[in-house]
Amino acid sequence: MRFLKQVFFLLALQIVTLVSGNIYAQGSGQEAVYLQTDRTTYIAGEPVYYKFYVLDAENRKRSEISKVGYILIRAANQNPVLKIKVDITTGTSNGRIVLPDSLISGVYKLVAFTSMMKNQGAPLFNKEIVIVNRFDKELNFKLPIPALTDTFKALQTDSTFVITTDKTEYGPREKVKVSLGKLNSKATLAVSVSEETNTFPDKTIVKTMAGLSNDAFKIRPENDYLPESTGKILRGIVQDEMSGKNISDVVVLLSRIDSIPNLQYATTNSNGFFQLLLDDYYNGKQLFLTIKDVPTGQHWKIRLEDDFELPYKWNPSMVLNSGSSKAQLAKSQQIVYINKTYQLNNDVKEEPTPEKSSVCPRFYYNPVKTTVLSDFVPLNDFPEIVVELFPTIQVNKNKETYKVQMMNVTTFVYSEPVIFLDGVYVDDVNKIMGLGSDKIKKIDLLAAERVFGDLVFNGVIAITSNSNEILKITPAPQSLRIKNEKRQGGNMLVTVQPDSLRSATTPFFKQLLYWNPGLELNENSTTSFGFYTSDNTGDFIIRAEGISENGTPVSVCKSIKVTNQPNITDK
Amino acid sequence: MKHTIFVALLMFCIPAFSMTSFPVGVSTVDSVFAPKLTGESYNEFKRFKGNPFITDDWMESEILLATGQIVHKKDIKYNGLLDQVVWLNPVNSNQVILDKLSLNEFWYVNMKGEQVHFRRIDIVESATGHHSQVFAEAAVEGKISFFIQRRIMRVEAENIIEDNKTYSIDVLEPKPLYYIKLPSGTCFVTGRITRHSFLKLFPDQRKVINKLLSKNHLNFRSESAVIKTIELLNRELFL
Repeated sequence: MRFLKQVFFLLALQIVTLVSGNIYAQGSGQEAVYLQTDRTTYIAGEPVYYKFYVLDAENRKRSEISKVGYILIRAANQNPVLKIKVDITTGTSNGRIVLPDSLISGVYKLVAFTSMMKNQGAPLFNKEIVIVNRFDKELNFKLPIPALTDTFKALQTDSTFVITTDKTEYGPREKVKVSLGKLNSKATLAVSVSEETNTFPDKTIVKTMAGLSNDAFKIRPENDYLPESTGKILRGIVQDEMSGKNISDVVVLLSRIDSIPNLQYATTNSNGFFQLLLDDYYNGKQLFLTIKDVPTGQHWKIRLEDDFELPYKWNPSMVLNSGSSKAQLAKSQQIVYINKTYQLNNDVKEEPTPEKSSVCPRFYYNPVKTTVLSDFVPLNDFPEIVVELFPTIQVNKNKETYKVQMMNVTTFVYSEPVIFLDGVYVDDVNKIMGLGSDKIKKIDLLAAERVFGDLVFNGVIAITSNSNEILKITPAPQSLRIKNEKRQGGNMLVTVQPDSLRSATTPFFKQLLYWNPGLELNENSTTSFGFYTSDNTGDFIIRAEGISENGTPVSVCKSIKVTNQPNITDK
Repeated sequence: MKHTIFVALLMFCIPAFSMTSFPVGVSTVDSVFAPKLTGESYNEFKRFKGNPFITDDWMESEILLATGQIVHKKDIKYNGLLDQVVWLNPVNSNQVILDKLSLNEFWYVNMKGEQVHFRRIDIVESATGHHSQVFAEAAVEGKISFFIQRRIMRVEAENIIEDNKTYSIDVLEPKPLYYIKLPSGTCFVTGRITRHSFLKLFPDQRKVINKLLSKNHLNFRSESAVIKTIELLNRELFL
């Protein structure tokens, strides 16, 4: 009996531990994403201002895990038209996506996610927007059937947190004073003021967070997407091109152009899979990937995973665009045309983002023996340079293949060193043989057995060229060069100030009057801000959205009218 | 017995199952993409009488790299003869002299259970202005700092006979070098610290320090006594 009591006590303890463990996992380790935009209807060529939120899927507080976010714009039944990576700082990112002028009119979908969400089978963030080509006069495209009940108008009456303005009706180029009520918790909201449109009502953060979309990633029980907490993670496989078989236990090397030889490597697992961390050092740079020591006669290739690949197709139910929205869209086209003609697009104040310090994965730190080639008579090619200047190096030619060997200063044995050109690991020594004194600036030598992590190399030859000769060299078959597109991020405030920026004779038509992605709200006081109306008359909507510090989604809006009625009493 | 096995199995299985539901953590990212140590292969063919390393065993250490990154749990030994840190790579059992300029600091717990902290410090020779980088144990850090360079030096050569052949081997002995950094920023370097030489560094506070030392029964017969003295001065005199 006593034994049974002990068993039950231990089991109860285990169950409590299990349950608390799961709560912790759900409450602190999974993410959800929300993407707020300034509007829902755009003319191709206009920017989409956004605020990207990465939230804890459970408590809706800002997530501190992922530092990279993904946004893509896709058209129905087509491949993505734009792919953007964004820098996430403490759970948010602000920026703008400039829509290409060439986009055809139609409905597009904004999709946002973080890499870690792929593990969880998490719902992706989806938002439909309308993009109209500036030169499309027919406007006979189809729109999805609107099934949105939670528009900003519907929400206004339910909320205790309200927007108040000094008036409800304004004239052109008049200042609008706005006051936001108190909240129970601190919050940073994004505020937009744009012309109201019937084409496509927006969905609030409250509604979105209450029921996320059905489009979700497939659950991956292997949990192999590591959190991108310090940078983007490049994922790929090494495959035999002939057999299609994945190759395990091979080393994939990564470097970029720099004045310092640099290297990062990963070893493929049993499935031929590898991953490399692309921190800020690689942001916006060309990446040089290669497979180390490919056996002769093998055709191994690096295949990289598409970060933006989505697990589902988008095939919405559509109806033909109605006549009323056509008039609105035509007006938008005209406003964009006027602003382009007069080049009136200087309303954006971009706060410069502080340059992030990045760490170079240096291949060595020790002092090297440096030879500056301009100190010597001109030499035609690399073999001649070696013969004349480097007695500890040998270049041998067998048929059309060169072999470079270097003497180890400790063992006096000749063996093949690792060669870097402009900081990049050289995948084929034959391709640097044509470099003479005219192209090479300096050569650094380290004639000892070098260790980099678990890899061992027989000495180092680091060549620095005068003008990045590495770019002129064709990559070897086992190598791959890709551009690691710069991640977006930065605070952008759109504010229209007619007093200081424009004379009365300049046309001044705006559909977006104000966008501030970082309006700070305090707990115990109201927050005020102001903006100016333009010559564009109509109904405008002030929208403030965000997540408070305690994880509560906040959405509030208010309409104002801009009219151009002459004020008779003034005469 | 059957019950015991069942319970034991159940206890093992439940945590194992619950762990699978946890997402991959940030710590996993750090371990997968940990910065790489760089250096040269270490092959010491020379025989010595005495140990060129300051410890007999490999010490599991935390290393702060020059890049600001930290690498964890690396087996290293400090070679006082070469003034170099040697790393034992567990993957291939290679011994590697780590690039001196790649390391800023390292920590390990010694056999007595005390934490030992080494720093790479820049030494400037006042006569020549020549800079050199050495690893020194940071014994005290404060207004007055006390660093010990754990030098191991060749004191003599000794002939030994093995298999009827005579070999000459170097005899090694620890010869620590002490660096006392004063509040003024100047640094005093010596191979031996005496009460007299120490008091000479503080001509204005000589009497007060003498009194403090007598009151606390501190002498200069051991390194630990010097450390205690400097800690006391940082606490009582140079706040």
